[in-house]
Amino acid sequence: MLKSVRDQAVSVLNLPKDVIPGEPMITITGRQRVYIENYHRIVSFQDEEIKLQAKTCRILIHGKRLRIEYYTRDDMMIAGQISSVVMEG
Amino acid sequence: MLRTLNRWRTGYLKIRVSGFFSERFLNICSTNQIEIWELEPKKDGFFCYIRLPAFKKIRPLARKARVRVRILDRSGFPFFLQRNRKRAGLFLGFFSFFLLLYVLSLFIWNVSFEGNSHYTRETLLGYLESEGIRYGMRKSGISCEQLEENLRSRFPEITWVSARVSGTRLLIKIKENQVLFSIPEKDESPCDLVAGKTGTIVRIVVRQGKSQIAIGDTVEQGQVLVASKLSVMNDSGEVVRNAYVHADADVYAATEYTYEEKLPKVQRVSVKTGKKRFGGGIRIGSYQWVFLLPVWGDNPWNYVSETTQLCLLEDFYLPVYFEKIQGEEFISYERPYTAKEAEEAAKRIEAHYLENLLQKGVQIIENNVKIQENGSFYIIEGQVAAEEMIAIKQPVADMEQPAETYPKENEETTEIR
Repeated sequence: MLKSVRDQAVSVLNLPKDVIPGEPMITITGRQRVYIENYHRIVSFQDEEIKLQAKTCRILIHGKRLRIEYYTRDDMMIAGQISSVVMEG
Repeated sequence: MLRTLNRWRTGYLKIRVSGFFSERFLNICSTNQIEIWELEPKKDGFFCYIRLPAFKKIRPLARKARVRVRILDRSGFPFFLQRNRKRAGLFLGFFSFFLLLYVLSLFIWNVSFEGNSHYTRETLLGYLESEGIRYGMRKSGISCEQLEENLRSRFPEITWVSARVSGTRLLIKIKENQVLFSIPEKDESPCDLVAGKTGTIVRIVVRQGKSQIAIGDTVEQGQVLVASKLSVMNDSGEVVRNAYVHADADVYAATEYTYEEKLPKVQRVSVKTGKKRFGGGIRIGSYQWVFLLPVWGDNPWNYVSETTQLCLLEDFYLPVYFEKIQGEEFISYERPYTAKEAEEAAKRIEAHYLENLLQKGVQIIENNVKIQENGSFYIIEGQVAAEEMIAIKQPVADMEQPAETYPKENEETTEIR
């Protein structure tokens, strides 16, 4: 209910969608880097798959020799040979 | 870059996190704002980096997440100090460097002038030297106000001067008077105009004095052209007195110049062989070291060097000079002039001679050059027909007055009685 009201407010006011608090934002640079904002926590971390939990979905990054360059409470930079970014749920 | 430097300053560790709940440990760390970077999953756990101050906080977090943390490597400034704590020379060198830098910053190592056009840098530097201001003197020994005042009083054409010490540089800004400082006094002393050179008069404009010549006259050197003596007559045509004026006139005459130059038939030619050498040099105070590879062969070399003063910041000059040296080998030998080269050499001599004449204000009307061979020489003979102002001033030595031919005033008075 609250979510639909919030979405409608954003739509009516012509606000950009990224102002909705808590929605994950993913920026992919080539095949080497993925920058993720607004994630909640790390679910699992392996060199071929990283699973992250966001507010509305789960984010899966597949690839080879994956590593986390840096991470804070809000954002994370993943490097490696990225093959796919999947959003589940 | 700044972040890397900061990490190095605080020190950082490479650690291995192993255990079943390793991801939980990572999440707890981010919640507690503990910076972790370069995370890599390996078979025996995660490898990552953590700052030294943060590492001291993670023990309870690791216990909570039931993981084991093992230090693999230590880097950064605190560990560097710890590793080298017994190497006194290293620290001594490090601190001596800063001490030396501080000591050098107390002296003047560069003097620069801005805005000077009339007075050269050498003149101003020479004056500063005479005032006891030179390279290498203490900055505290300079009184900028006094220096400004002295410069203004010593060089009257400087209307404004600003001196300031910036870093190790003494910066002097100058504004010079653009107009003439004093109007030259007009010479009104009696003088004749005489011929400075033999020639035939072509034009004459007399402004003051009495002309002694006419157009077409041939005059000899030293002959009076315009006389300063003006005779004042009375009604009966007798000269009452002589007035002497400052003769002023433009007297143009057709003149002739001849010149003769001897040119040896053999000339010395220097040709570059194309071989080059590069080297460098360093000068610290009065000591100089030059680094240049040794020369092979007997041919002479021509060296050009470029010197740069060490400047750490914009105004922080140090008494260290770097020299960039470039050498070029050349061969020198003698060979005779070809006909074309002799002609070109003659033209060069001619052009040089004419240039000198033009600089003197002589107008060239005609010019003939001849090249003659004479034994081991070429003789270059030139004849120039010119037109120029030949009048030069000659002060009047004896200002004679006519003998008195009429009675004096007191005698006349006696007769009336």
